[in-house]
Amino acid sequence: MRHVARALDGFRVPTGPFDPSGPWTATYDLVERAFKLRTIGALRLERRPTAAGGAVLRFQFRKQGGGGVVRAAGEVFLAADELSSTSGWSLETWVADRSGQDVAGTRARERVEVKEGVVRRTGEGLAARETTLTGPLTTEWGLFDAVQRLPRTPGGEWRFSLADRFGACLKPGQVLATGPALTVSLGGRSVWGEEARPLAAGTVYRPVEKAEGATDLRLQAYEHTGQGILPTTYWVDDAGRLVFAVSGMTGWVLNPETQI
Amino acid sequence: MTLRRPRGRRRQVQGQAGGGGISRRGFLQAGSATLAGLALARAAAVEPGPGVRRPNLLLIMVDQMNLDAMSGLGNPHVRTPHLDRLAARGTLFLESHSTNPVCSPARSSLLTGRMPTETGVTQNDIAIRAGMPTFGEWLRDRAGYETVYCGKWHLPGSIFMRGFAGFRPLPGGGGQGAVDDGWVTRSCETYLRRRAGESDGRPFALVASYLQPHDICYWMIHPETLVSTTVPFPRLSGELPALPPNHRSRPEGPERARTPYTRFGTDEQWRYYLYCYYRMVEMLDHDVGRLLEALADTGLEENTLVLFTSDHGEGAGRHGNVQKWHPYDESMKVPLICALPGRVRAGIRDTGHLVSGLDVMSTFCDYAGVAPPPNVRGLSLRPLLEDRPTPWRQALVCEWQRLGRIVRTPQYKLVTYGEEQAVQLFDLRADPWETASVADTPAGAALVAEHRRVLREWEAGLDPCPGAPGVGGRE
Repeated sequence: MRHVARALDGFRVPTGPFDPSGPWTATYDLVERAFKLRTIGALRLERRPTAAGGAVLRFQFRKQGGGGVVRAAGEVFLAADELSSTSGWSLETWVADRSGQDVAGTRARERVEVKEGVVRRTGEGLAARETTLTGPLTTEWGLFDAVQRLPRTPGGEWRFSLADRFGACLKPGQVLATGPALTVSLGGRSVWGEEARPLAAGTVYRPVEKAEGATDLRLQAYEHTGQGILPTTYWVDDAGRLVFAVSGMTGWVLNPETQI
Repeated sequence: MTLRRPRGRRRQVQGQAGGGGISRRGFLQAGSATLAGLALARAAAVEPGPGVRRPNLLLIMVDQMNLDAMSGLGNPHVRTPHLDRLAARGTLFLESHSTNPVCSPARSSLLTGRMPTETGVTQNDIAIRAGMPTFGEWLRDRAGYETVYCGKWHLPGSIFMRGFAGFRPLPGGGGQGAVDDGWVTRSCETYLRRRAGESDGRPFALVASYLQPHDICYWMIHPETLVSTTVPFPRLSGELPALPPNHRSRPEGPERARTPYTRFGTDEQWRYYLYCYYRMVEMLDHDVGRLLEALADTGLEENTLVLFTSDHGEGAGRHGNVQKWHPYDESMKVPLICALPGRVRAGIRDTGHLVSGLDVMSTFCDYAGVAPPPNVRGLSLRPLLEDRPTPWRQALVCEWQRLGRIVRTPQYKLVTYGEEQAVQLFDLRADPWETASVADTPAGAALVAEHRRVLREWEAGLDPCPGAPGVGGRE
């Protein structure tokens, strides 16, 4: 989390009740620190439980890219299991110009059904493709949902395949494990102060950065490793909200004010 | 488990310069006259094949991928099922070299078939010399191809300005690989879907330019947060790759040859760095896999030549190095795979022919049925891909940094350091990990002289770009 810690400056600690099994909406900033930290995109998730005990997770995504803003929208069908494994999803992607209009020829749609270990993808202009997987398949956004309800017992471990890149890439060999719990001070603002260090010849003062008006937040980590992904940590608060996810030099930061 | 130098377990092809090597006399006879003359002879020999359907061309260009970062080559630390499948249905060159192990110079050669000294792109962020055509311009104007480009460009001027350099840009990319490469794939897939529905008979040349595994550069830039002194995920301790056998090797040579860019204090940090690098390669593999699936699922695979390569390699802990810029094979050697069903031989690992990014232009022109632009330095790979007899180069010259040069022959590799007199000479057959220079051995002096002669003759045939940094022999 240290790599993108600056993204938490001014973070508004979420308050109020939250039911990870119920309906909820969350928006995240997508941040990246290559040379400098930048906010490069946003994600909105909306969960609606179904009568069968599962849920539908609607998502909207945008990111500034070369030649326009890449956008994605769709929904993932989640099972009522620990990993929010998926029975399928639909996806629409396109690129918008500065005025919000579609860039010609960029819109594409696809549907995916998952049944008895067979992933069947169809899309305009594409022959249907079937891929066989073993074990549960969950999506990148399904994991955002799942970690909010997973037990926090040390030693917990879950194995699965991941539908990554909005379902474009099916990656086997994934492991999610319970990580450490820690308390961090978040929110407020950074101020410079002095720290005194007594030495034999006198006291030395050095500038230190401190958070003023910060709130302590207890977080539980879940660590995700596997083929084709950088080690990723999901941080969940006591209420069960996923507040950050960090993977290499990119991170997702909960921000209710983010617009899609 | 440890890394081994890749050797083909599939059918191997050893060219004239192949595993049996070449005698000193043969090297002298075959030397630079062949090197300089081949491209010209081959350019004149190109004829559009009557009645032969011109294939679409798909260049998958990646950034900073080691030649041996593929599970199919026996690397136990990475899983690349999609690249392995591509290699299995095509030809994989194991003596494939970057023209210069830095992004922009190498890319300028891939696009033009000319050496960086000639394109003028001797360092990052310099434009290709005015009037020097890219294969985008050449294939569009001479062969009627629709030429499109998506992803990392890394030459000055936005690719989104006015169909830059002969390509119509597709939106997508523009950021780092972890996030943006997926959008390069989506954008290319959308293009392929549309193309499959058209029947104007006009072939396309598409460049899918991925950034991974280049993201690893930031692990060196921010080691304090990305490669901390303790492995951040303790459960990975048993999965971290072993250090390469030449990790601590500092071969004799000029001072800068022995000064690595080491940034990590512990073996565990190095191994975590490698772990992350290989995950980035796997990310790339999945993105490429999805693109290849799209090619198949649109029905375009059957008539599309796929050429996969990287601009340069990655230090990956060898010689204590990270990143590129250095003259060792970890920086210089890159994967190069070609596949075209029914035309390119499948399951071949070519261990004998010295090939380079220079050869992309000539290969594409050959398949498009047009002669390449004048003075291209590359050779068409097509005869090798289709198992037709052909003379081939006996030596390959590469550039590194601005003034360094490398002369690669079947057994040896000479590294020069610009204005410095000291050189390195590696016997790659006896020492494939480049751990000891043999330049100062009794036999070394004559070999150095022979390689220097090849270099002089090669450079005498070039057309250096006036005013480019390093051109003319000075920084």
